[in-house]
Amino acid sequence: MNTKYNTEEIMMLIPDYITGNISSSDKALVEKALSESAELTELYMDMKSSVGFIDSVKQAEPAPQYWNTLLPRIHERIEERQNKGFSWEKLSVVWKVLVPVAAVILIAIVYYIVKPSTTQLTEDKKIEQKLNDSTGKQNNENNQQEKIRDNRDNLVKDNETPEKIKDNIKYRKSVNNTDKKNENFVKGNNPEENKETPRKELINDEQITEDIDVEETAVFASGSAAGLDEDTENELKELNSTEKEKLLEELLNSNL
Amino acid sequence: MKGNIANKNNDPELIQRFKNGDITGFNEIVRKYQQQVYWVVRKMVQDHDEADDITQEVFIKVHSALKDFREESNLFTWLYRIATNYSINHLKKTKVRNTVSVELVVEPIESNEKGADEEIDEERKRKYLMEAIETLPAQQRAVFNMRYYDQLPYDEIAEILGKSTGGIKANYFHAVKNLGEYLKGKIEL
Repeated sequence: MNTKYNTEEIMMLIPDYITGNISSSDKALVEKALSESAELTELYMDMKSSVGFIDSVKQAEPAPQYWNTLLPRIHERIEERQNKGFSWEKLSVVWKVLVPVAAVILIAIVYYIVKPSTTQLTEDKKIEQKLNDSTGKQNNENNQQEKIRDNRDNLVKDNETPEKIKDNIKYRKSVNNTDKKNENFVKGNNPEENKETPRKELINDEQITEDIDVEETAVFASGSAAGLDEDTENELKELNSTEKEKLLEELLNSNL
Repeated sequence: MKGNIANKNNDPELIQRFKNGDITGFNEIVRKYQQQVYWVVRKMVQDHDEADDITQEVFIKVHSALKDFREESNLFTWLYRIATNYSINHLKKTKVRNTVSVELVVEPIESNEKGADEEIDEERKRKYLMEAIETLPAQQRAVFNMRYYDQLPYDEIAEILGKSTGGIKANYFHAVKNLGEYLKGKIEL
């Protein structure tokens, strides 16, 4: 049995023992402890005088009408607090319009601040399209230029070069020599007809030659303007009328 | 002076009436418990004007919170808890310490004086007691008032203050002991 512990428990019960607010079992314990302990008895005596004094003091009562005024004053405070609180209905018409308008404006401002990212994207797309268009045009132009070059190349290919004209002249000379041989052969077979015919042909040839000579002069005079060198021109001058006639026919029949 | 605990029997009816929107339920609660609440506060703060103000605040709190009151404890215990907490908070704000009046330190009181002197003695005794109580910490003061003046059971005091029963018993013992030690120096006990 823990006496010390019991002493402390008894001490806790002494104020209740003094005021009488204690159970019968606890009361018996306290009375037994007080009979056995001088310390507890002294403590009991001190507390008893204190409680006696406290019990003798009368609290100042409020005025009787105080209890009749308390409830109305409580309701007044409740109404004051309710009136101070925010209520939409209390706002004037002006505020009821301004508040929603301000909210809409604020939302619009936020929207426009956020929006530029999408417009920038569209602008970027436009820039890309322009670039594509310009490169496409360039490509077309390049293609056209290439075609022009190709045509030029083809034309150069088709055009007779001065070397080719020389070759043609030499070829005609050789052809003309063969033709003369053929004329003589033809005369042998039909001497009279061949004699007459050659004369007529010759005459005609002379006329043609004369014409050709004029034409030749007109044509070949521009040989240098056509890009022919001196050697080619001299060779052309050495050609007889028949040779010149055949060369012209071949040139006319070519793709020049 | 020891107060009487009001009849708690019709409390659920008053609560339900208020929850149904009938303000008379609240009015009846005020009239039924106003004195108990006032004295709980008055014994804590020791001043009538302060007690009046805090009492009104207690019932305003009840008005706003009663619709959500779940009746897990009885109404009086709930009111007592609100009143005690508001009083303790008030004391902490004002930081009431030893407010010993210089005039009252000097003369001891003789218990056999009567007549005109009785009134003065009563006033002095109230002042001494008020001073003695003001030396107590807020929780000891609350426990002393609830146990000594209102005779509440320890378990109910423990529930109101949210403390253990053993702790409340110790608080009460020390409150009485401290009051006696203070009063010994003022009066001849």
